[in-house]
Order: sequence, then structure tokens, then C-alpha cells
Amino acid sequence: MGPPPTRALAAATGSGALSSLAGIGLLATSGWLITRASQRPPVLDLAIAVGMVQAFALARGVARYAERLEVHGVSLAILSRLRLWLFDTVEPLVPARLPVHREGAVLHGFVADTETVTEAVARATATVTETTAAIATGTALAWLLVPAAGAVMLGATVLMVALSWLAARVGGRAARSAGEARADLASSIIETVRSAPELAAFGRADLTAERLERIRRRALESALRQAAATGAARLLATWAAGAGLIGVATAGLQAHAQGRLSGVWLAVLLLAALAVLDSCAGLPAALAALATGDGAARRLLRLGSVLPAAREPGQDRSPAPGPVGAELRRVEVDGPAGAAAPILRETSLRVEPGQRVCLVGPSGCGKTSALRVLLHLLEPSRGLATIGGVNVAEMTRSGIARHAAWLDEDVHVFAASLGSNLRLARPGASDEECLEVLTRVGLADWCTALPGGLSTRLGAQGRPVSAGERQRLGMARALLSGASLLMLDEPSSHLDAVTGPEVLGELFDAAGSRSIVLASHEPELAGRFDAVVLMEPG
Amino acid sequence: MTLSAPGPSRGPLESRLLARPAVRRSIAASVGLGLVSSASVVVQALALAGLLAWAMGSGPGGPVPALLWVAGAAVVRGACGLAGEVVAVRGAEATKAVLRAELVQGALRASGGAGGAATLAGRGLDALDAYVGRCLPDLLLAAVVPLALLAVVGTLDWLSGITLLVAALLFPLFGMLVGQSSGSRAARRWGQIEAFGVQIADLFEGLPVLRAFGRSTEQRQRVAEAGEALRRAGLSTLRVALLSALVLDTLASVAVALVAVPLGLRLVGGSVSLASALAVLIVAPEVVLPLRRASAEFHESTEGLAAAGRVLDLVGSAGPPLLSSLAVRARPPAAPDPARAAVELRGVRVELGAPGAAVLDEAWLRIEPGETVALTGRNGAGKSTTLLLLLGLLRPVGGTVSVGGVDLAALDVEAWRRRLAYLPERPTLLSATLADNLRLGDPTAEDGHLLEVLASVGGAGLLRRLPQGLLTPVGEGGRPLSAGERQLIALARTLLRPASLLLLDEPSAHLDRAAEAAAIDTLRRCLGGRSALVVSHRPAVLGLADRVVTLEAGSFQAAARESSAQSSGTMVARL
Repeated sequence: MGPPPTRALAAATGSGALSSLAGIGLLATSGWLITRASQRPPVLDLAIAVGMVQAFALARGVARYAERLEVHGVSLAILSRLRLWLFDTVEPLVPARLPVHREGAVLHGFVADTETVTEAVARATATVTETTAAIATGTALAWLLVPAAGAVMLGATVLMVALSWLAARVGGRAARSAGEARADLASSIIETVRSAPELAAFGRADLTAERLERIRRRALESALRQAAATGAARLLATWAAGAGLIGVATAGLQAHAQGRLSGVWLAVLLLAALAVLDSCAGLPAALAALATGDGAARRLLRLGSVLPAAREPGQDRSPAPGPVGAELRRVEVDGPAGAAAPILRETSLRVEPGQRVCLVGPSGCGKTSALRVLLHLLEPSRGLATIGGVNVAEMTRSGIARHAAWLDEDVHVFAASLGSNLRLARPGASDEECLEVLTRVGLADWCTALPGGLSTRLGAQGRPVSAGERQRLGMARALLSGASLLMLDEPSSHLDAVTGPEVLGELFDAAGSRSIVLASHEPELAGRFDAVVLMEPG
Repeated sequence: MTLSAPGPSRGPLESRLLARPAVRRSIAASVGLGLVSSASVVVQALALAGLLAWAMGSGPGGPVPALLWVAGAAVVRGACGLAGEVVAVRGAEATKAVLRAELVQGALRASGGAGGAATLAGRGLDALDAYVGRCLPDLLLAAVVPLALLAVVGTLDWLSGITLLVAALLFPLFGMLVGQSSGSRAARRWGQIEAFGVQIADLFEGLPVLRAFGRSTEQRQRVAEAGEALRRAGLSTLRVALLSALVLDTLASVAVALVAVPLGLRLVGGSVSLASALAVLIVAPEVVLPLRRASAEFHESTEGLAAAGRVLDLVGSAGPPLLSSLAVRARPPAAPDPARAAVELRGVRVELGAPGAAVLDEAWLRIEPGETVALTGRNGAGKSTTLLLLLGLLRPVGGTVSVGGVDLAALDVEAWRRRLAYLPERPTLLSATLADNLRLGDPTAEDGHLLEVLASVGGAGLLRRLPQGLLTPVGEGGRPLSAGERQLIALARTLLRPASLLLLDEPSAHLDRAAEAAAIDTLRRCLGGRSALVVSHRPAVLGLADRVVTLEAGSFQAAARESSAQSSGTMVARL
């Protein structure tokens, strides 16, 4: 994730320490000023103290401003990097290892967990810096005045730190489960919104409501446990601070009684102790935030520990441009751990350049997985997949994309313009080329009727796209890509009886000399292929 | 859930939030604890000042009572700290629960999609923690505590009291000036965070395609740019927020200096006692502390406030609730049974998305009791929309949907839906076991019956492949299923339901030939004696129907009325 921005961090720490020192200085100097004044010295004796009081007052605010700005700047920079890291981690997992419906967890990770981590780090850094500076200065000052008072101060502040740390550890488990509950809540909400029409129709809206309520209770219980731990730390820390103050006062009074400490310096000692102990009050909350951040970090790392579905090679060995064939050689794909049946068993398939092969078989027999292995979206457990004679594991994603285009059974339409939705298959495509492929899949009239033509926004918040239109868009993408090998997964399942064969026919005409691998459960289409491969489950 | 304009900047006290009793209770408790805590600070200050004055030989008393007072104050303050933590969390969680529930209901009517709702309900409401738990109580404390402390200071030394009063009055003024601009910035930033959530959800859903086309590295760039934009927006919001903190911090420090220096000079003149001067010095920072904290908390929670505003806007926005649990009416008439009464669409107009863009216009359709009507037509003609109308999930902007002559809008929609079974175009499986998913159709069905129905629609092979049978977890996080397998489960679930009107959207989509044949056989048996509206293109499914209606775009209104009057072949919609 790159080196941490050390200079900014140093600046943040420095200004944090400065602001904390100015705060102690302000109270201690004011105390000296007032007690010394009560002895009615010549006014000039007080002039330096008056100046210092004003200087400390100004320095404190400015230093704190600089500190916060630096800390937040650093944390926001880390946040951007963390999100990129997460993208790089998750990207190789789709679609095989991270099915689309895990998106709730991923989304929560992206938007919330990353931010929780960085905010916790920023907050803890700031508090720890301020507190450390305060403890060091306060102890040193007290030590100089009355060594015993210095020892008491050090003891009390270290006790406060220890108590806060302990509470954060105890509350950490609760913080983690609260975080888990929040992540589950995100997934649950997505599911609730998705399944709403059906559940309403079934009269069972209570089902998801119940689940939300269960998760909410879990979140509440965990949050309360964490609050209790933090609260207990606050209680004990406040008591420790009180005890420390009394201890310092006792030591100071003793020294004063023995004539080792003047009344004026006694006031400085007591007021400095008050300021130092007050500045430790933020510790429990800051360390608790750190524990919450730790939970979020663990969730992110867990997301990163899923094995990639397929590894991308560093070097591209894809074949030269031109018509290519593809082959599966005794490919096997094991099911997820614990599953009895493999997803694919000993599957072999050969597609010559220009050949059209139809994979036919009942639902769940592994047609989709076979296509994914061919496209290297899924690494086979055993066996070999090649495109143009080259092992797909030795080709980069863009190398594979130059030769093979894919049409998923559920075509995703991005919240972007129609043009961008098409051009993702070939970035440089002109408007004419886009319109041409749209014509070939029967969407020319539809496109003309759109208010903005190719620049009309589709998808979420844009114009709704019906299932059939989606499928045609997907086909248009595949055609536009210019790949010589088309892999189509159930391309006509959403199309009507007239349009389906019609569009498929046009697609075949448009495909020209391209090779086609089509997975379908409808053998009726079989007449249009050079070869039909029947797949049995497993 | 539009992402554009944030609402008008509201004051720091969100009245719509305060209208919720759970919020009010929690805040009252927090304020009470805050007051006790402040009182203990005053006690501590007076005790310390007395102690020092005694040590300087200018005050009565002794060290022991003073130190006892200090100890007592610490005990009370610690207890307040513990109780305050718990009260803040409890209040914030209760508030979030109320808002989240309202939000989910609201999101169901809006068009932002699940990603936006999840971002708002999760990350957005979490930003409320700071607002409800700390900011609101601090705002109220800021109104009360400084006045009480000023009274204490005033009795000790009236001149210092006046100095602090002026500073305290300047606080809200400065706070308001800076807060106004930062509030609208925070709302804008919140809009960006929400948009980021929507964008990421969209990106991940489409990532398989992007990977297949070798385009995912460019998406990395997209994530980087979106993140960078968020970072810049965040920094600019912070700069203003922190600048205001700087102004207030400095004001607070300067106020202490302005009290301390004259006190010192007046002590030289002997016009004020040392004990009073010290007490004033210790209490002085506490006078402005609640104001400073409230303004800092306010800046920290402007984001939460902006999120809450979005939630409350959404919850309060007009529109028929999708889940009818919210729409309980006073004694609506009982729903007529479609097995005995005809269901009718009369001149219905539906607009989705932009106003004026009609999906259905002047649509007429009549389903006689016991009749199976197949609805066919080009993609995008409004077939699925017709089903949503009959479910009462969508209300027409013109025309009526009625059953037995009674407008659907006047009926108890829950009771009406109990008579229906619905299979959507893209069925969703809940993340639960296969049995739980099937029992959605009939909660009382026994395992044997579930298996029987699933097998009857062609799911025998699927059952053999599932090692745990009915107990196999499906849906998110469960066993991955192919589209055909999901369709079988959804179809079985729909047919399990004892309904008198079946609304089926492409019942045989994704099914292989064997499963389709089994499903058609089963459907034929199930349709006997029930009414049904089946959307499909497949000849085998259309063959089940008593009558096939073609939904066409671009026909004329007059022709539509005429054909409906004759109750004949076509349902016509003009676009």
C-alpha cells in the first residue's frame, strides 16, 4: 500500500504535542500569575507571565488546528490507498469465487470499513500524541518542583493509560461483533430491497423485517457491551485522575509545610496537574475507537484472504490476432470445500477456428463453469484450457479479451450511457460502429426512440432496460468487441419466441467466420451448429 | 434516492428527529448526567481554590475537607462518565433502529437501488451515533451549563463574569457564521459518499463482464478517481470545520487569558480575594467548554445530520408504501375472490421513471373467473408492469384496476394478496435454507409436500445434487445455483401457494426442456379452477391459456376501448 506519509505524520505529531503543551502552560502560568499577584509584587514582575499567558492562549488553538488538518489529510490519503488495495484484492475473485450476491459485504467493506479503519487510526494518533506530550511535560514539571508529586503524577497517568487500554481490549471483542452485525445489516438491507415485491406478494414482508430486527439486536447488545467497557474505563480513569490530583496536592502541601515549595509554585503544581489529568480523559474513547477500527481491518483482511479464482500471469503469451479455436482438455473443477459433487468432471471440448459448437445439457450440469474455465475466469482444479493453442493461464485478461468475447446469462447494464455500455467491449468504437451492432441485434428502433440516442443514461437512475433489451445489449457488446471467438451463455433465454431465433440468426450472420461456443438448455437450436456437445450433470 | 441536490441547510436541531420519543428520552438522560458532571467540576474548582488560598495563608479551612470534596467530585464525575457512555449508545442505537426501519420501507418505493439504501442505512446512520449520542446533548448542555457557571463566576467576581459572558455570547455567533457554510458542505459531501456507494455497487455487479472484456484495470482507475474526489471534498469540508474549531478554540483560550490577566492585576490592587480569583480561573475554561464541545461535535456530526436529513426526506416523501404493513387503513372492504369475480384493468396509465414517460397507457384487460390469460408481446411492452399493478405494488396514474367492480386501491391489500401467487421475472432467493424459501409459498407445508411440488416442476435432479437436501442454504452466502435451478425453486414456491389468481412472469425461463415439460404439466393441473395471468413467449406456455392477449405498443386508444368492450383478443396500450 505504499509507504506511510511520514513527513505529514511528523508534522501532525509535532503540532499535537505543541498544542497540548500550550494548554498546560496556559493554566499553570495563569495560576502562577494570580498567586504571585496576591503577594502584591511590583506590577513589572508580572509582565512576563502576562505575556506568556497570552502567547500560550494563541499558540494552543493554532497548533491544534495544524494538527487536526495534518491528521485528517493523512487519514484521507490512506483511505484512498486502502480502497484501491481492496479493489485489487477483490477484482480477481469475481465472478467464480465471489458470486455477485456477496456484494453486500464488499460494498460495506468499500464504503464503511475502510473509513472506520482510517478514522480510528487518525483519532488514536491524535489523542495518543497529545496525551504522551502532556504526561511527559507534566511529570517533568512536577518532578522538578516536588519529586514525590512527579512520581504520583506519572503513576496516575500511566494507570489511566493502562485502564483505557485494558477496557479497549475487553471492549474489542464487542466492537468486532458490533462491526460484524453492521456488515450483516448492509447485506440484509440489500436483500430486503431486492426481494421486496415477492415478499409483499407472499404477504411475508415480516421475514426480512424479522431478520433485520435480529441483527439489530445483536448490534445493540454488542454496542452496549462495548459502551459498558469504555464507560467503566472512563469511570476508573476519572477516579484515578481524582486520586492522582489528591496525591499531587498532598505531596505539594507536605513540601510547602516543610518550606521546600512556595505557595506560588504550589499553585503552579496543582493547576498543571489538573490540566494534565484532564487531557488524559479522552483516552478511553480514542482507544475504543481503535478497537472498532481493528475489527473493520480484520474484516477487510478476511475478504483479502479468499483464494483468487484464477491467477493472472505477468506476461501475455496470447496467440497472434486472427481466427482461433479453443479447447478444454480433461478439465475438472472441484466444488467448494465440503461439497460432495465436483462442479465439472473430466470435461473435454474442441472448437476449431470458425466452428460453431453448442453445449447442451440440463440446468446445473456445468455449462457456465465450462465457459468460465475457457475464459480463465475460473482456474480448473485439473486439466487444461487453451485458446488458439495457448494455455489461457498464460494469457492476460486483455489478451483473452482480444480473442474471446463473453455474453453472460444475466447481462449487467451499468449506470452509464448506452454508448459507454457498448464501448466497454471496445473503447475506440465510433458511433457508427455502435449503431451498426445495435441494428444487427434488432435494437436500432429502440435506440432511435431513446431521448438522447447513444448518450441516453441507462441502469439505476437512468432509463429502465427490460430483460430482452439487456440480452440484446449484451450481444451487441460481444459483436462490437471484434473477438474471433464468441462464448454465449443462454443468449436467448429472455427473448420472445419470435425474436429469440431471429436475433440468434442475425447474430450468426453477423458473426461471419467467428467461432461460437453457445451454452443452452434448448436443443431446438441445435440445427444451426457444426457440432452439438451433450453435457450430463457432473 | 436522487443523488443531486442536498436539501436546504437545516439548523443543528433536527426537529423531525426530536419528534421521536426514543430520541427525546435519551437526550434528556444525557443532559441530566452532563449537568451533574458540571456541578462536580465547580465543586472541585472551589475545593482546590480554597486549598491553595489556605496554603497561601489567606483563607480559612484546611487540607482534609478540601481534598475530600475533590475526591467526592471525582467519584460523581466518574459515575456520570460510565452512565453517559451507555445512555449515548442506547439512544443512538434506538434512533437508528427507528430510522432504519422507516428507511427500508422508504427505499422500497424509491429508485436508487439496493446499493444506495444499504449505504444510507449502514454508513449513513452510523454517522448519527455522534449526533444523537453526543452532539444533541452537548448542544442542550451548551445552552444551560454556561449560564449556571456564569452565575457562579459572577458571585465570585462580577467583572470576570462579564468578560466570560461576552465571550460566551460571541461563541454562538461565530459558530453560526462558520457552521452555515460547513453544513451545506457536509450535505454535499454526504451526497458524494452515497453516490460512491451506488457507483461501487454498480461496478461490482458488472465486474464479471468487465473482467471478461479485459476492462477491469480501467475500473481501478475509476475507483481511484472517485476516491480522490471524495478525499478532496472531505478535505475542503474539514478545512472549514477545523477553521471554525480554530476560531472557537482561540476564543476559549483568549477568554481564559482575558480573565486571568486582569484578575492578577486586580489582586495586586487587593480588590479581589485569592480564593475567588483561583476559583474563577479554574471554572473559566469550563464556562466555554460546553460551547466549544458542542460546536466541535456539531461539525463532526454534520455528516450524520446530513444523512439523517436524507433518511427523513425519504421517509417523509409521498408515494404509496410498497410493503403494505405501513398502509393499514380503517376497515377496508374484504377483497372479492378472483375465483368468483372478474379482475379488470380499465384505461390504465402507468409512468415509471421520468414523469410523462408512460410504460402503459390506456390499457384494458379483463380476466374472467377461472380463466387463464396469457400475456405476450415485444420486450419492454409493459407485461411485467401489468403484473405489478394487479399485485397492488404499483398504482396507476390514470384508470383503475378493479376486482369484482371494486377498485383495488380501496381494498385491504394484505387480504387481496393472500389470494395471489406471484412469480417475478427475476426471482430472489432469501439467504436461508431451501425449505425456508419454499415455505414462503405455504408456511404450513410439510417436507414431503415441498419435495413433491419441487419434483413435480422438474426439480428432482436438483434435489439429487444437493447433499443436504431441503436444509441446503441457498441465496447470498449459500450454495451457488444456476439460473435454471433458481427458477425451479421459485416456481415451486409459487405453486405451493393456495391462491385463486396466479401471476406468473415467464414461468419457464431458464428451464431446460425436460424441466419445462414437467413444469407445463404441473401448471396445467394447478390452473384448473383458478384464474391466471401468465406472461410468456414460449409456445408451450401459451398453449396453456384459454386466451392469448398481445400487448402492443403504438395502437390507438379507440381500438383499445372497442376491443375491451367486446372482451376479445387484444389488450392494447398506446405509448
